[in-house]
Amino acid sequence: MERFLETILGLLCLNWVSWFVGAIVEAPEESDDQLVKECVQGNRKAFDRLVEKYHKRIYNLAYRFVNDPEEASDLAQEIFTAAFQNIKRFRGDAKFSTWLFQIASNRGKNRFKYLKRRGLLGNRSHSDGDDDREPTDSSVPDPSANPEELLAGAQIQKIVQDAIDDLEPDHREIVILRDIEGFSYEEIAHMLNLPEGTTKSRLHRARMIVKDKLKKVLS
Amino acid sequence: MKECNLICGSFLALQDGDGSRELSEQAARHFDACPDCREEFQWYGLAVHALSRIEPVEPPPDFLRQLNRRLDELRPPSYLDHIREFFSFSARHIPIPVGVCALVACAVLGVLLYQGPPLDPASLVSMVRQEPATSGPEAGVTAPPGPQTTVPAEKRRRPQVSLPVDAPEIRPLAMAPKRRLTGEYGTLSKSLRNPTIADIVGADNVTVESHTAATVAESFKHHVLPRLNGRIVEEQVKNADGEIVLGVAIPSSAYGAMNSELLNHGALVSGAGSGVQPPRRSQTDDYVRVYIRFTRPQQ
Repeated sequence: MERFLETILGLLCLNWVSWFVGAIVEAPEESDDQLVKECVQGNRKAFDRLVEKYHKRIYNLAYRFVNDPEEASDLAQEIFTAAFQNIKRFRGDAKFSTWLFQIASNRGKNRFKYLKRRGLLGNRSHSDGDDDREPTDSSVPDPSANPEELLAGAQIQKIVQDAIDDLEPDHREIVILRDIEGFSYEEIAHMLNLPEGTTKSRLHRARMIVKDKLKKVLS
Repeated sequence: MKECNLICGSFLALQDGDGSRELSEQAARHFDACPDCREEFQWYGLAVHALSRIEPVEPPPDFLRQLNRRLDELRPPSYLDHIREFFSFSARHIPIPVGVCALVACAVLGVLLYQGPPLDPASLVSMVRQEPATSGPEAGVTAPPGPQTTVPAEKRRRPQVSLPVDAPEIRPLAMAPKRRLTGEYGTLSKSLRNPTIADIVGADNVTVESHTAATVAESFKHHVLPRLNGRIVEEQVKNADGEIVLGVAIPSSAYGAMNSELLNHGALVSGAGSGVQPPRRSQTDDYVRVYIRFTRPQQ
């Protein structure tokens, strides 16, 4: 019914009225599929709405890859630009978010390799391998304590990010996608074009590395 | 040790809770017997918990603006895009005041249209029944576009006139385009010498129907025309029925007044009236030539 009214008002060139009525009625949020369809038809505004919807998550993912705000901003823009240029190739056999994060993961991994090759990874306060850093007293919680208390400290965030930075790109992307972004194993397997078993084994190894890092720093 | 490796390799399934019941029971038994594996599993869970609790990083405030600029550089918007956007439902960024103003404008326009005066069917008939001119502009005479194609809104309603008792039945009559005189009347008189005025007039001028056509014509000549600063150019009694044809030259500004006078004389004039103004001329000596046929109504 609402679509019918919109069509009638559109035929009468009263799209502003339609917009006003829509704003009052509080139309339900458009689905990704509908927005993608409009994007393919050349509607730039539809892509803008997709950007509004996902830009925080994409930026967060980019930041986890490069651990630098400037680089993360540039990487996130590159991801959206690539999505905009290739949206006509989106076949719709997976969710748009899966497709977008597949692009993001590939670009993030490539950017990380590029920066690492040139020694341009900034804000890296941690050291590789043997970490002889002496943690402060406040950052040494008792592992037997409540996990909520253990993770409450602000410095834990930095330790976890450093632990992520120590991961290899393949491990890093899978930890980001699963533990930070919360995708299912099936979606991750689709994004990375890997069998689900391989996805799980990689994730297990990545978690073990993070675990060892946390244990070493916190205990 | 073998069982330690097995349990350690199952941390993922145990943490996610998707291991079998046998595996869970075996792990529980093993953790009771092996404190190292139990501690490792605790640290594993802590790591997973820490990763899932890591705080999201907010993008910089100008992130969207920078991204839009980057996207705009890829493909500059064309006029087609603007038109498509205008006629689409995607104009989510129109400010609310603009939308409200558009809505109010639509409402006001609708009310104005709804309260407008209804059209008189008789005037519509007279608008349709416009007889063509039988002669074109003559030498030295230019014919301005007459009011026969458009009728002003105020003329859609007939003026209130006092008709004589023997007033004829109301019939829509025809109005011919006015002809403007240029220069002296001598040119006009010379040009009108042949053919005769009656032949020229035909039906495409002001026609006045009255049972007292001769009286009306006389009154018009002696009272109305001098007041309007008009002059008689030609006069002819066309036939035995007493039909009188007057060719008059009046200032263009007096055209409407003349029609009002004709109406006040108990005649019916269609297609013109007091409110009709001929096309404006800049010179004050602009005259229009009008042929008026005074005739008795047909039985």
